[in-house]
Amino acid sequence: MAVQPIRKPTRLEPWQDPGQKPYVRIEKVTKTFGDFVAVDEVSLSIYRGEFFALLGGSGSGKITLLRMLAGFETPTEGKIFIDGVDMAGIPPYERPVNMMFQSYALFPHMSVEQNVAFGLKQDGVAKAEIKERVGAMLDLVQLGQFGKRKPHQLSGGQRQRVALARSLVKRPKLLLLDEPLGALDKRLRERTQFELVNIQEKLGVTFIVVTHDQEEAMTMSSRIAVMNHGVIAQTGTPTEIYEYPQSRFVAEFIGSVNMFEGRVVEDQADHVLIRSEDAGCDLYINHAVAVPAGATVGVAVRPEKIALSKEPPANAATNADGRNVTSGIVREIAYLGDVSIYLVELRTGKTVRVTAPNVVRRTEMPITWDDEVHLSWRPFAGVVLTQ
Amino acid sequence: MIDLLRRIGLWGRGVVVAIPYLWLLLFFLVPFLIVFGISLSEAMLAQPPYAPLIDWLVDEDAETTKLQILLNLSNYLRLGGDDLYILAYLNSVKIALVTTVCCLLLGYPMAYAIARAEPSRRGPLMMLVILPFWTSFLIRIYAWIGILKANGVVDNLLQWTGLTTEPFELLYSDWAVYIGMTYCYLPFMVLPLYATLEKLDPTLLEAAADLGCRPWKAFLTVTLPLSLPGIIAGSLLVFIPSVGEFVTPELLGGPDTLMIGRVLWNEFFANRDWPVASAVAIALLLFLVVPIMVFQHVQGRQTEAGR
Repeated sequence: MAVQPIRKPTRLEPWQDPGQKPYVRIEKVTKTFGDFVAVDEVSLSIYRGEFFALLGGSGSGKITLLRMLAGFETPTEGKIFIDGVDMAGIPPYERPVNMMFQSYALFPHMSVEQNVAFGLKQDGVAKAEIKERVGAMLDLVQLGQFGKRKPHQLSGGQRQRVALARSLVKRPKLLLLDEPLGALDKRLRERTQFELVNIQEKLGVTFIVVTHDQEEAMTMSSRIAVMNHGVIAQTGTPTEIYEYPQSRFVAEFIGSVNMFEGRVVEDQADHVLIRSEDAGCDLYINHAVAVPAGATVGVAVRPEKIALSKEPPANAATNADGRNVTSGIVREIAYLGDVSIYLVELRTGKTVRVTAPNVVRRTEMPITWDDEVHLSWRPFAGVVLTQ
Repeated sequence: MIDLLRRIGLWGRGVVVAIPYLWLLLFFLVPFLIVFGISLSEAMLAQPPYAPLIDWLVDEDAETTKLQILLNLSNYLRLGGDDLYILAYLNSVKIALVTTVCCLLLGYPMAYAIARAEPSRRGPLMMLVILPFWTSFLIRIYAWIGILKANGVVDNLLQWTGLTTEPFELLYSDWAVYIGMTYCYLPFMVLPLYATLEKLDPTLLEAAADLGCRPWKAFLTVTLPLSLPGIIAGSLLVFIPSVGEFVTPELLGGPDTLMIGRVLWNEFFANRDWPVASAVAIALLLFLVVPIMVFQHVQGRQTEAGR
């Protein structure tokens, strides 16, 4: 896993500040292509300086939403406001928005410099200023010496940076990025993620990035909107999305998760108790849910939050009455170097995924195939999915 | 036998390459050399109507045999000396240029519209462009005679609308030649233009719009420069055969429509001066080598850029 540049929470986050006005406001926007509903009554508020990710699989409507912001598609219903201005009827070339295309869309007949200067020329910026701004922008993306080259003489990573420079040189207030790192290999992606975040913070531009890659969204963005079938499933910070998914879809889309079905037997202000046939034990979770007792709910437990041991866990305080403790047999082990993934078959027949860091060397690892193991987790580990 | 061919590298891949080369050798290079030879000989009343280049002179008195090679350059000198030929060349180039420009002006919007049409419609639309090739070229030219002649379709239409009162004949004029040749060569312009425009990535235009470029300007700064290879290929495909065109000016042009193809025909069939006709042909070929080489160069660059 990549190291994640966690944003320092220096100020009140804008979406929590009632005095803040959203920079981009999407109001009940629907887009249909024939019978197909690509975007279904989506409403979103994005604030100045945010790094906002639209995350979803193919056909989730994320790209259509982005293209409507850029002006390449017109909403069938609903309104889009950028900086308080209704964007209806405003063509792409008059919007205060720039876009970085997935294919980069660099002009193949122009040099790197000409590509970057293109937008400034359209605005009639003076020649000397164009030269200066293009030079500064190319330096920012570390392509100072490549100005005279043509796009086909550059590597994929360099092209990506030219595309970024071209879309930033006009100093847009809002930059739309369509799968900006999609065409790069893994190593380059990780490095570029940091660069993008740094540039965004340096210039203070609002970024809206479309991606299908959850790791990319988690690493870079201040907030994520997870989209599914044209609808926003959940909006929140990466931590919120990962730790408190509201629906089964979000829980399964971001990272991997173990899902248990169960019946609510006790619902108090500070905890819930869920009896689960699946898990073979009672699930104790230290947050309240607003569901009637007896209702069937799903509980998500992340693989890394489950502890494996050969001995029954001694931690009696949380595991009294056998809560959050179950046992099974190790069926598969996948060794990934830094962590190992264990697939444990519970007595109930359900297979549970557990990841554990390889603190000790592989040869000395205590747990192996067909071992009988105990699984346990803390009260905060589980999340009740109400949707 | 196969073993021998194999030993000199003329088997397998070699054969595949050798067949077209053999074809070119037999049907292009050899006839070219024959024509070149004739252009250097002297006209005479004989069968064939020119003096042989190479002759064995047997002098029985001196009991000697001489090999005589007579190279007659006067045919080429005549081309330079007579206004007729120079005018014919210049006029051919003029007509070919006008034809090329007309084809480009008509063909570009056509190719653009087809390339931007729904993918399912592109095939039928391209079919319509190629469809005229299915009927005889001569019949199509004769049809134009019917359209352009006095009391033809155009004339009747003009009189009916009251634009003209007298019979008006377009036929047998340079205009008729331009119309006929533009009509004939239009598909040669549309096909390469369509090929380049269809490959053009539409996101490039979106990128231009996104950077603040209006559609018309995006066309001039993005579409047009990127379709330049298609424009050059199409223009050469129209220009090169247009210069030597014979049938269309002969059938649609007036008696004063001077074109090198007609001059050549006259020299060959009316004057029976094969050497001068050959010299005209060789000069025309040399004249066209330059644009052909430009064409080859562009093609080469295109394939290179496509990699």
